[in-house]
Amino acid sequence: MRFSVSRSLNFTTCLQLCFFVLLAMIVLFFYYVWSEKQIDAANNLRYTTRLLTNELRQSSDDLTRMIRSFVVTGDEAYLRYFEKIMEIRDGKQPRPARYDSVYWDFVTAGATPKSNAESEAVALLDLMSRSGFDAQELILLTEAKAKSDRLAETELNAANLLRSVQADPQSARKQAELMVFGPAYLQQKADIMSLIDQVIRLSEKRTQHAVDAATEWAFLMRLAFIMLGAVLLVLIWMSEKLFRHTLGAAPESVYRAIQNLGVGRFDLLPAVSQFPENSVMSHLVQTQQQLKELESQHHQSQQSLRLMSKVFSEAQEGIFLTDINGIVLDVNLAYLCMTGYSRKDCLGKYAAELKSEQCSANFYLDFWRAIKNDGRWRGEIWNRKKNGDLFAGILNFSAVNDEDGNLLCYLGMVTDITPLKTHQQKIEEIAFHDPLTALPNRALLADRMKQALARVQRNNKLLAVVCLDLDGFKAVNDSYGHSTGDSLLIEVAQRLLGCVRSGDTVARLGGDEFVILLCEVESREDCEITLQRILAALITPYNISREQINFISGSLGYTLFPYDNTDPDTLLRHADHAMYIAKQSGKNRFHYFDIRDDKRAQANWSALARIASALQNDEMCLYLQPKIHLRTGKVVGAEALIRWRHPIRGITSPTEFLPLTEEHDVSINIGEWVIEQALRIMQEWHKQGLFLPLSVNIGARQIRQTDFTERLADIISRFPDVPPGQLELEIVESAALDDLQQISGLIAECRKLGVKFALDDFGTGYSALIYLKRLRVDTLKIDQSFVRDLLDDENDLAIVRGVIGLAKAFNADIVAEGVENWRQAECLLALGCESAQGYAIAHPMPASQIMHWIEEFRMPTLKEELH
Amino acid sequence: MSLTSEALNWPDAIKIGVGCIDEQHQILANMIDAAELRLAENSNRLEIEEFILDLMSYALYHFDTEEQLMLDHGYDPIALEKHCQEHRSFSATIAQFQQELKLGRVISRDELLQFVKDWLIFHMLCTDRKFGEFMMSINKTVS
Repeated sequence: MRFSVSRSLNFTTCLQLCFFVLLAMIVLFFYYVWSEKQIDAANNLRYTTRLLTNELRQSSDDLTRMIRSFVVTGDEAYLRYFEKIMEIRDGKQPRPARYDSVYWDFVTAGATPKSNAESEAVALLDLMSRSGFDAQELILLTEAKAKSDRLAETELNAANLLRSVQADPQSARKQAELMVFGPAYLQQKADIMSLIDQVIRLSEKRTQHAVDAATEWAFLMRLAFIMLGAVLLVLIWMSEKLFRHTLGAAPESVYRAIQNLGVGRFDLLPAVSQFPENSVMSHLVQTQQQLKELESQHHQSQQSLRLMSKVFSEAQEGIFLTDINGIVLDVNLAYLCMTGYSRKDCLGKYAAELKSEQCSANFYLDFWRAIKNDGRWRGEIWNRKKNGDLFAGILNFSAVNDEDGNLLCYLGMVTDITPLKTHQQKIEEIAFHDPLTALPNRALLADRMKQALARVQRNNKLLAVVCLDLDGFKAVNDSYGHSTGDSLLIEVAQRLLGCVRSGDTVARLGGDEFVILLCEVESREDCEITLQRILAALITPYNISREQINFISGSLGYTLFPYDNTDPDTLLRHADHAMYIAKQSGKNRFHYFDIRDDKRAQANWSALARIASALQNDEMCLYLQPKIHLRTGKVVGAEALIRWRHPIRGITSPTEFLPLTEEHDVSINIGEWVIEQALRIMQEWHKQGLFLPLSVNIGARQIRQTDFTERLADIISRFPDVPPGQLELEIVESAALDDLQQISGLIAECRKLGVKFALDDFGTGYSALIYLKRLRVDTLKIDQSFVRDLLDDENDLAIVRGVIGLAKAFNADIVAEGVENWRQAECLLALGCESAQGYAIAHPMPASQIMHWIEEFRMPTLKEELH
Repeated sequence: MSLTSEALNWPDAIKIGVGCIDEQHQILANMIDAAELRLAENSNRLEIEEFILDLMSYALYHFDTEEQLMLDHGYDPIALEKHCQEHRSFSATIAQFQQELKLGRVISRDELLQFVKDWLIFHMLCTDRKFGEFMMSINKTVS
């Protein structure tokens, strides 16, 4: 049964209610008892009332009987009784114990009524007035008493009459008899009785009423008591229900469950669902379940703790545990073996007591910073054993926190890597040092440079990176053998070390190449003082294996960081570059790498790269300048000239960019592109029926290529429709003269391909006749500088005349360049030069315009004269 | 101590306020400065030729930078054309010096340096400055 009041009424309230009801019941009970006593009291009163009333009647009757008996018998005893009764009734003698039945009995027994000494002598009326009669009754009773008293006087009178001696005994008796048996007496008697009856009726009625009232009240009390009893029962029943509900089960079950909990038996589990929600039992079961889980967790953690403890004791790594102040709490066996300390030595001491002076204060600062920030630190550490030996360890040190992030302790694990370190040091010694001179090698140098750069940046000084290459060392090896060479290198290393400060580094990169790092240099002058010292030390003669070597010197190149604010590799390259210049400039000297020179070089490279990209991006094109036959006015050919169609600046002359390429391979690419382009133009022309030879300029670098002929043949082969004879290669005279042997051979080979050759700018290179003979070119081009002043300068005229003569002598064609006016043309014609090009005839023009130009071109009639 | 302590420092007035351009101008300034020190009156052809080639390549890549920048930022076409015209005239003159040297003519060191300096000062103070102001105005509108 569901207990619906359980929500509004809990167990305690119910119990309190029970208590209050019980209290009310007790009070009611006492009240009830009292009311029952009230009934008794009322009954008592009623009884007393009747008794006293009866006593009055009886006393009256007794008096009557006594007097009548006296009258009849004349026995004086009756008269004494009579008097006694009167005295008792008037309170002159104590009352007998049982008044109601005594007198007559006494009389009949002939005994003397015993007076009760203990009872007080109270007049009947007084007694009555004390005994709860109401006023009316008392009045009646008093009247009855008074009448009885008057009757008693009558009786006494009768007695007296009888006893009087004067009277006739017979008549006195008769008279006395009449007095006490006569109708008057009877009438008086009846009056008395009537009064008493009246009192009896009244008091009956009154006391009955009191008894009834008391009884009714007692009944009510009883009823109330019973009802409260019923309420109490209900409350007790409710309490029990509530109690059970709160418990969720029978108390015995709860008791058993608690007992199970108490003895730690968590496995006997009823289902939670079978108990009301929120009941003691459901909580108990839940607690039991939680305890069971806790127990199993505890069991598991016990298990893992055992495992951990095993790991801790068996681990090869030294493990130590410290509290948050770094005081050692526990260490394992491996740790003790590693450090040589006993457990007693370690526990309670600071873990840091092991530290060696090898680790700096900064190290410990960093260490604790890492612990604070990351909660862990891992790294190598040098510690001291008990016997003072150093040992290297890898330490894993971490903070152990609880779930709320509060620091509990620190855990340290050390692996002894001393043997590894020792080994590593040996390997490093080998790996980072040059075996011959024991100087640092390239790898260590890189490391030292990194350190030096950091230091220099800190203290605002300069770092000099110096490259040294010995001059004349190869000769030592060649003349005296390698062992002497090696000895010399060792000696050089010693001398270098003698010239630098202790913080500086001397490294050998191999062969006779050394690098010196001068740290904390104040200025360029400061650095050069040291370099001067090094040069002087190196040039001092060497005595090796009884040989004196006195031709060794050094070439030094150096750069200064942070003027040269770049990375270590670039610094080395810069110093090396400067060293190369020192060597070029005559050895036994130093050269400073000037960052400004470098910037300039970079600018040059940028420009060159731009030109290369222009070629790639099709920004280059060919312009053609026609050549004509002066006598016939026929177009005999054209010179292909490169132009840069710059996207912003427009058509750019080759004089503005080609000079930059001359020393670089870009010039070859450009040259080949020009050849290819010229062939392509001619191929187009052939399709349109134009057969015009094109000449292209070949740069000095291009023609010096050893595979020039092959490459040329390859290009030509791509244009099979174009007869190779239509292509003329113009070589600048000065370029051709550089290596006559090679160029003349090349010309001979190319001629086999059918290609023709012209010597460009002829006259500027001061060629000897013998060269001209060897070169065997098809055409000589007179340089425009001679043509320009032809008319004004006798010397130029003579040169041109000479050139024309030479051409004829060698059976070569002749072309005059830079003809600016027709008078020059007339002069040239007069001198015997029949072909010409120049502004007078045409400016260079795009290939597409050439057809149109040919159609339009009309040459004026020339007079052959020298002007 | 700084990198520039050894380098010739141009007054800030010459700077036009465009980082890469000013840096390139500084390179040219250094180049001229170095040439003045290195080229003696009787310096040989090779040294002068080297200087001319340096100028030529400098002009090529520096003008390219400037012109590309103008084009990219929508510089007024007329101003651009005028600016390019000055660049072209510089390149042409330098090319002419180069040609003459190649032909064996004697080139006056002073004449060459004077031309370069005059052109540079005029060009930077007038023509480049206008472009610099233009770039500043763009940056202002952008920000």
